[in-house]
Amino acid sequence: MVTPEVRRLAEIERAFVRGRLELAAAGVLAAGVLMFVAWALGVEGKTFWFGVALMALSAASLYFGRAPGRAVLPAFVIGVIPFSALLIVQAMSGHGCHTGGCNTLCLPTCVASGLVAGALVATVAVRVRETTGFVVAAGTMVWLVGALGCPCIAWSSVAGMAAGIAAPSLWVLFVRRRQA
Amino acid sequence: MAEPLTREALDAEMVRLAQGDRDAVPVVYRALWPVVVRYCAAFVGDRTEAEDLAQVSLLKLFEQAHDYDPDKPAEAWALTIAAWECRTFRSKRTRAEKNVDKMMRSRSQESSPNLEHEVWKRQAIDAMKRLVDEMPQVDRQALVDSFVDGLSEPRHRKRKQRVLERLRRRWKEIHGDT
Repeated sequence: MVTPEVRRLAEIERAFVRGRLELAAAGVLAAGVLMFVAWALGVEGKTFWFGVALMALSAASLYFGRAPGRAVLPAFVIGVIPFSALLIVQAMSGHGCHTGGCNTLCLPTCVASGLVAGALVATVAVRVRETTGFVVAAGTMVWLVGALGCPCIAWSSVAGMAAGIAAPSLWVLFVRRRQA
Repeated sequence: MAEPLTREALDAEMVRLAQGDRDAVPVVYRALWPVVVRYCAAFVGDRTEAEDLAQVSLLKLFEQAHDYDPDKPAEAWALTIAAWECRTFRSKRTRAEKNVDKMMRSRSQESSPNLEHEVWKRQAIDAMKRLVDEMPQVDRQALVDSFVDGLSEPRHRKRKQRVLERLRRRWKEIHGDT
């Protein structure tokens, strides 16, 4: 027999899940806004796969919460740095692709903005005493937000940005592990 | 039965809940339920309504759990939501009571005179029928004749007048001047 307490608790759990789903929807919406901005500024269609991945990752992180959930907001804020840096460089110097790669400032911008973003992720992680889960989730989301700003999918640039983000973040994790 | 949680432990569980830890749901629920029910009961004065209000309050709390501010006590937050629900409930109830009262008053003002009048009319007709039945056959015939067209000769009019006079007198004898 289902007691009133069990029934009430089931309702409460459903309300909790509803709240988490609303939160996840906010993540999807934020990623959607970035995708729209990228599209409005003329970013190539294939880049949107990064947007789709960002939607999925931010929604899952917000739904399941804990360290990855806490990483979403800082990741979006920090991710705007490489995202806007790429769009600004594109607007200033123009962009051209040919067989073998892109002849713009994409790669150096990606690496430099990735390094800045990675340093910021590491700083936030140290400040709020976050764990590996936070750093990995935040780094991945920053990378996805930044990659959305790529005018075309130049894999070298995207990989360069990933390396730029990973270097300071992993350094912080390494130092903290040694200190512990 | 499990030990009741201390305030600090409840706050820690609430932080876990805010961060999406589903395992904290039953723990926080069991800690807050009696507190919120007691508060609502004190507010509305009825145990059943208090339980309903506590459930609504806790549903809201768990739905907004991610907004929990870890610097504030969880119990205070729960009671703030409960107070809001209780106040809303009380004002709704007061408004509903006022509306019912107003509706009843206006209905009684509108329908009561008509109803009384209708009853009085029906009673008067019945009384009059009884009086007419008691009248001699000749007088009854005279009354009927007076309503038929073509019988408006002076002798008919005179007879009708006499019958009505007797009827009026008889009415006064029984019912007075009403």
